[in-house]
Amino acid sequence: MNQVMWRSLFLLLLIWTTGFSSKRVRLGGAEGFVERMGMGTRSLGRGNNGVALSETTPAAYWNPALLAERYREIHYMLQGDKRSLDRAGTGVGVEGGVGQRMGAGLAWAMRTDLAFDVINEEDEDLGSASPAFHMAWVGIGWRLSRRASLGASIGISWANLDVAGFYSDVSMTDELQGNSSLNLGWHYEYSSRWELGVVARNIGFNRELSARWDQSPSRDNSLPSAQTFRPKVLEAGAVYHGKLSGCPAELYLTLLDYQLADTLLVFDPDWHVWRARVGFEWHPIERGSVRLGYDAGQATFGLGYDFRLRIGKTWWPLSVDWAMLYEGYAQNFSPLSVGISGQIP
Amino acid sequence: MNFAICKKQSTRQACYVAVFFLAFASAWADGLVTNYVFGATAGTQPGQLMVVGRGDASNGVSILQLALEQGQVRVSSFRDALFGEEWLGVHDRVFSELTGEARRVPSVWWQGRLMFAAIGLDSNHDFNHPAGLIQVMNENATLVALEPGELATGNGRLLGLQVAPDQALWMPRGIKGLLRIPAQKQTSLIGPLRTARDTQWVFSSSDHQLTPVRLDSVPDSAACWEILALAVDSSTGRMWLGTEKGLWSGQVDQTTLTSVKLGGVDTLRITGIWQLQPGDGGAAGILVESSQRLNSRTQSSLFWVDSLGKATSVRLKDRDGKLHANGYDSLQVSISSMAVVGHYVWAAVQGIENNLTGLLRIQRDSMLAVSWSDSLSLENGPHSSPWLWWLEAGVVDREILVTSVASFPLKTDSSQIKGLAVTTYGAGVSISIDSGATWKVILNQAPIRGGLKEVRMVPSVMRGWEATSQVAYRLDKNAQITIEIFSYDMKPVRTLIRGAARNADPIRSSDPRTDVWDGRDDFGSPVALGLYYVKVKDDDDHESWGKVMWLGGGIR
Repeated sequence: MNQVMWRSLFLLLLIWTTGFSSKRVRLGGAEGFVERMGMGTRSLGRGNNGVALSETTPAAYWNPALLAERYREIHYMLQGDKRSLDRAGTGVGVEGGVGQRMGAGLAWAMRTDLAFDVINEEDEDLGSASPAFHMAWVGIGWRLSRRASLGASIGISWANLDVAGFYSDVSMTDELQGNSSLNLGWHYEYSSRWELGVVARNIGFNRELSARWDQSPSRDNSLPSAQTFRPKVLEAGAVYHGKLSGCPAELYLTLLDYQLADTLLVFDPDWHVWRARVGFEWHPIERGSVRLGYDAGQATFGLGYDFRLRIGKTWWPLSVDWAMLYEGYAQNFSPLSVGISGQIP
Repeated sequence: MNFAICKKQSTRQACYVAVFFLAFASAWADGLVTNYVFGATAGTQPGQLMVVGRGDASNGVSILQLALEQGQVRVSSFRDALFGEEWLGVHDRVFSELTGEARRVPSVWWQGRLMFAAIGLDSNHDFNHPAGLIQVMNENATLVALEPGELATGNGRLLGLQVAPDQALWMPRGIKGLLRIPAQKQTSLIGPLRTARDTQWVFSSSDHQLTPVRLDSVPDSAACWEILALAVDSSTGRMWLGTEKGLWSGQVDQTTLTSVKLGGVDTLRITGIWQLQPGDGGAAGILVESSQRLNSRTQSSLFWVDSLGKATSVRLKDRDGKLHANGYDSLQVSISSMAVVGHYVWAAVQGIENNLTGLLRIQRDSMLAVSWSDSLSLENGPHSSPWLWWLEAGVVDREILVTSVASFPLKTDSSQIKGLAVTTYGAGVSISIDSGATWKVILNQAPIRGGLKEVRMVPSVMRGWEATSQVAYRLDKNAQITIEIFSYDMKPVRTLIRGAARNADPIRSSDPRTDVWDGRDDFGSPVALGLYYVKVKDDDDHESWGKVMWLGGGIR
């Protein structure tokens, strides 16, 4: 019976991976693409799965509850990727233990286009810009028990459009400030094989708990201002630790629910987009990893190797990862994401 | 280039040809000077059209060479003659003036040169000061002073340019009367063309004669009437003078003029005169516009005056045959220019203190302006009028104004036909060879590599909620096109077209009506501020990408 249940659940989840879409709004048109793209080359290689695995960095972004797992080491992550169509990004995360049961960390992600051609209404080339969109998180985590932890992080966003200087007819501004919002996380080590994680993202500080703010790209209101919001997201993940051909392997699954309405809660499925991510990581050699993933239309593949560098009398663990990505909807292939992560003993 | 290295004669000749081509090629352009075009004039050869524009980035004359290929109008070449930064062909108040005489851009061919009135900066740094003449020869535009600098004042705007049978150039200048420049011997004009001791001709209000006065004298506004319009028949020398007090007629070499009554009135303020030659069912004569301010309103009328001097009002006729008295006055428009093609006289009009713009189509045999619409209601919006015909302007992202109209000859394989060119403020030039049934749009467009190797989003930064961006691409062969828009993280946002037929074209294959993004997703919701990526793909799986930044979005 348990087998039937598990197989049924697995089949259901496979169906879920195709995703359910809103009938009112496209997820692609919603705020928050920096957040949607994930952080970390290692996580990218396994399909942007990270909320449930305790070692995932940067935890301030993925699941602040994981910050409680850092004990006394300082963990860091640095990532850079170059994607098709001149898109590029980078990310940095630092986190560490605070006391016996707490941890803290911060993370920053940036996405840019390195060669955006500015063309005016008269079809004249004005120049090239590199608009950049940023998000940052700072969080803390508490260990509730040996298995469970909770965490919270504050996320902020801002942008530099880099186009205002091309226009003299209106007083445009490049600097756009988003708002801050709260992410709440929970992590649970169910057993030696199973870990679970749940994160609620973009909880605003208003009556609707909506991460909403006003934005205007001009200083003198010559361009219309608007109110925008980052959708609330409920992200639930699980990781299973097992073995494949006698070598350690992990299987990841994350389910996401995007609420694309700017309100407290709406249960109309037309305002929701459901997505799933699956990932697989295998360690066929000592300290080496092979990763595969699928994130709602995007297929990923990654490799990693854990080094140990001796500096003086101390061994410094350092992981080097590489991942590539195939964006299925757009049929784009991006072969270069590299990252390093490690601990400072 | 070191020609010494070209030891062989044939190689040297090739070098010379290459240098010549490079030098000549620098004068060739890829498009119009600007999409803000104010006037058009037929060139010196069939298919040649000269259009004058004033834009933010550049202003000058675009010289288009048009050809007919398989029944379609094609632009075979563009050349530009750019004006200086401190003198333009269009003054700042061309749309805001309240009477017709200053709401147009006069031009004329004079001894092989295309001449415009030059506008310079006044003491307020506005372009409202008459600065002489602009002469355009090939790709060169130069400023020519009319009179010595100390005489150049704010009065005496150039309100027209006409050439007489003796090749003298005549110009109405308001209170400063008429200025005559005799035929010039030099190829390129060097100003000033007149001295302080030369004469100008003022129209005496007492004896109704043209009276010569020195150029450095100040005309007495009580003793003279403003001369606001002029038409000269270059073959017969007959002259029509439009003044603040009526229409006057005479010979260009005589000073005594005869009044012409219009609608029984001989004191109308005449602000425009256009000559029509006989042909296509119409007789010779002139169309005359009057406009004057009365009680905070511009009172306008339009008359047809035949060769015998008999004047009749040009009336507006609806589809039911009903004639509308005072129809032209009720429109509250002024005419910037006219052109005759086939059985019709086309008049480009712009609203006075309103947004009306378009073309009046006047039948030559009856001199009636016929409406295009069965409904005479104006509920369709401020730009619509059943009397004003419209055109295909090739853009959907902006409001445009019709600024002028001209006819020009086009060669076919066996004969010559007349094309109709309509210039617009904001959408370049539209050409029709079938009396307005279909249009070829010519815009200032950047060149695009063909074969779907490039996609341009025009503009690439969409500012404002109503902004749209055209997806511009070019095909080398006809194909079925799909256009999709994706977010930065490559999530689908919108499908603009799927499998739509598009034709190969040397300039653009995009359909300006459908290949346009308005910042909405597939469900009509505005997308968030950010970068979006536009994929254009054909049925052979060739694809190219464009990028656009949307600054709208959110909830208003």
